[in-house]
Amino acid sequence: MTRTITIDPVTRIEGHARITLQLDGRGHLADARFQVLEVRGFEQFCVGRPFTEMAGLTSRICGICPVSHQLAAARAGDKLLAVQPPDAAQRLRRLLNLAQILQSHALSFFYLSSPDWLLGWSSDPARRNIFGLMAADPELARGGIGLRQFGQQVIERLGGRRIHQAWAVPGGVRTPLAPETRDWILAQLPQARATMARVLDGYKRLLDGPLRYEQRSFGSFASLFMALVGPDGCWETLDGALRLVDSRAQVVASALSADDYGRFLGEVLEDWSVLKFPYYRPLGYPKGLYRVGPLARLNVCTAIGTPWADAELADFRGRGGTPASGGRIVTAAFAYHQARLVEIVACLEGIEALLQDPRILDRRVRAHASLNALEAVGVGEAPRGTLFHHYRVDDNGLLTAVNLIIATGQNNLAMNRTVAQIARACLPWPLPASAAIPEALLNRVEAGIRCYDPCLSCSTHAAGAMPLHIELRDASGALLCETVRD
Amino acid sequence: MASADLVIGIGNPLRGDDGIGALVAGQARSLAAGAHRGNLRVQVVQQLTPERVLDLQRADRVLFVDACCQAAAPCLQPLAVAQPGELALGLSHRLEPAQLLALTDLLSGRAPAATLLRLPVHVLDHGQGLSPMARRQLPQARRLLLQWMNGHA
Repeated sequence: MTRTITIDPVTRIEGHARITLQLDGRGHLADARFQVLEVRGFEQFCVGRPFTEMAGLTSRICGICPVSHQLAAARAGDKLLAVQPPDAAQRLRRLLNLAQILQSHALSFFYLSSPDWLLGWSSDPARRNIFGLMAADPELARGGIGLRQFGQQVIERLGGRRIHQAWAVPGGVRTPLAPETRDWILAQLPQARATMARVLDGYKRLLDGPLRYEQRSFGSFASLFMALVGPDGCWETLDGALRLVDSRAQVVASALSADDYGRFLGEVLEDWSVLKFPYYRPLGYPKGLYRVGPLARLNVCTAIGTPWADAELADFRGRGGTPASGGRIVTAAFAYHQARLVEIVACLEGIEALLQDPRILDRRVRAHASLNALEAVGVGEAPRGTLFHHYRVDDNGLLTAVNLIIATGQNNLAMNRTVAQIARACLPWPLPASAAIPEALLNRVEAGIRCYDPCLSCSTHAAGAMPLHIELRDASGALLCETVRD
Repeated sequence: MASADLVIGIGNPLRGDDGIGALVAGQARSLAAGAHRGNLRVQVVQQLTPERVLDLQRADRVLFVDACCQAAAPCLQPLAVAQPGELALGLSHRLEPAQLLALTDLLSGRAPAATLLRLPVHVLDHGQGLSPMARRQLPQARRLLLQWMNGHA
């Protein structure tokens, strides 16, 4: 008899999903699935709208990374207008994106994931949240809250509001940067830096101790990694070209243009999830599994390009780099968490560098033109990974086709693989037919998904209640037992 | 010295009557400006998230203004800090006002005196603007807002 264990929905992620573990007749793991079940359909209801509205429309897809959608839409709009935004506008967009990555990473690391390891895998699920974190480590909680607020305040001061702004537009941005806003942001940086120094110090102590196993083996498997890189191969969040590397640090493809994504990326829709499964086309499906996001960006880049972040990158590779890659590539999904911290440092240094250059204050921030192209792809690095907006328009600039390739979707194959890998490593196989699964083990499986910080609001679905639902099913699919926690 | 007052309007103006919290908070901003009340800050949010703690830390009094499906008429309701059994977060990062007070208390050892202005709502569909029924509540909501601003609540 086989049975299925279902974790439904997965908790402390952005959206609603379910994990299903399918067992075979001997009680061993046969398959693992991260299932996303509700469609949102942004791609469809944007059709017919003017492309100039897309930055504002798509920034409403998600309350966590509205900036990423706004920027990808604006960059696609640049191409439809066939203009290059003024230099200051490009700097301001970059500043906005760094603030976005910073605040999103702070949310993921401090609010959603750190309760797992600070309170313990087997702690009461009701306490694994910001209140539990506050009780366990008030200094860390305070620092995390402050960092997220800083990122949001930068976004608010640039775009007029913390979420759902429409500041970036085709051709540039709506308003130039005021000197007093620059000065305000610069004045906040020392405290943010001090917070990050403390957080990194504390987190590395955990990696050296209780999290040593997770950092090396949690969701660890060979895969491709994809991200934007600058002309020199450095860490990049907005411009540049796409590069893929494998787990042995070999460059599989480089200088790829997002315009050609259909040539090297394919998408498959399985009948058991509405979240698409992108893959690297030359290797086919599912062998073309690749990962995006913080882990991928750090694996793909040659360097970050700022001193503190580069030192942290070296530490990151030193701890998790695999022997097969000469210590260059980190394959464990758990390392996404440390990668987020490294990227927060990179964002802080990047913000400072941008603001110290007086060119960012230039008043010329928008290029104007009429429609000059009928198809365009906008790309950028969202907090969770590479984001594509592909538009086709008619002669009036009305959208006739929209395809959004979201970071969470691109990690879909990897998340499934991670669930299977952790389940195999952590659950007691063969699983006794009637045994309840210990909370600590189920939480580890679930936490494997949280490593990727999936945002299902972006990829499919509006945010809703997120209880945890675990089902155990036999070979025929019959429900053996279930647990729900709200 | 005047107390540091904070008004937080909660809701989504694109979901019909859910925007009433933001609208009434906007009135607080106008009233404060007209009365030269520099001690009053106004914020409008779609949901309460933990980083709002940093704003509450600086306040002596806070008024949350929110839509409420169960309310029959606008009313002011004193708010207590959420107790340990009320701190489950629905496994997300969105907080109720009492939970935000609890987080502030945990972080700084004190929470501001808090009041909730509950406003009855009827239509929460997509779209901007209030329903006629919700609009009829605005004069009373304004009276209660002034009452709180003048320290009578």
